[in-house]
Amino acid sequence: MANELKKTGGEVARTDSEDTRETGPFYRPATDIIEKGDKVTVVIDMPGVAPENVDVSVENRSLTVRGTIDTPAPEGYRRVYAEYAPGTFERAFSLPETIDADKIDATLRDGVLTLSLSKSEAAKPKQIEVKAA
Amino acid sequence: MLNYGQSGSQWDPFAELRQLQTQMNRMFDTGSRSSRDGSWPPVNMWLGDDSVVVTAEMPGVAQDDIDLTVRDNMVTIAGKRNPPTDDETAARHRRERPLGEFSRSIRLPLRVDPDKVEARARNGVLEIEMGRPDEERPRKIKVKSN
Repeated sequence: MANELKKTGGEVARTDSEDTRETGPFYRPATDIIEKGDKVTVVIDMPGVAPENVDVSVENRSLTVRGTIDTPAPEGYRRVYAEYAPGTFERAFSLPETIDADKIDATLRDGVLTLSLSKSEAAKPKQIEVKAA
Repeated sequence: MLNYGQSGSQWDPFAELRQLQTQMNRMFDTGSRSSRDGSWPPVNMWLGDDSVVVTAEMPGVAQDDIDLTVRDNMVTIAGKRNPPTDDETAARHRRERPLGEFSRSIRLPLRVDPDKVEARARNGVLEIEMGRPDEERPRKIKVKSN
């Protein structure tokens, strides 16, 4: 533990554990998934997250959403009761092969992240015309 | 980790259901973001010199849809959370977000003046700042020597 401390000019600057305190604990956000036709909508609750603090990424057909809560304490007040705490929302979803990973649209409004996913062209049902011989 | 549709074209509704069950259990075991007694929305309270602030996490509730009532030392937050879709034909693979009407009353540590209430919503977090009535503000009394 002692060698984790980094010293700057005789003063202890920070430890590794302090780094994790900045992002705080991780929370799994409540999610709804709706499918209609060739559209899949993923709705994720992320209260206290500003649009610039959301990160949506796709890697190896795994979709990861991450949002850092940015709610400054009201100035001149001290907290006397708490049911929720700052931290980071994070959740990963595995994308089925039928989803086009290049066409994902993300919007954040009133602390709700909405991801619009489309099924790939290949996965869409096709009508095959039967020709008369 | 969600494995919706992982099996490709094969859809097993029971696997999904089982998974949901485990997830629900996990949700109640660990700290989901709702208050201790399950009421919604979860709140934090902040105390100042002559005022109190209540903040509430209420994602998806637009500012206009929030109904606030302040009386004596009680504040009531009410409103409605709309479902992500009204379309009955849409398939819902996952429903975790609390929906519908809600109302929650919170007792404050001081009486507040209904004329001194300011509320603002930002990124799904509501902040209500409430001031103490003027006549109830603590007055400083100067102690004279002699």
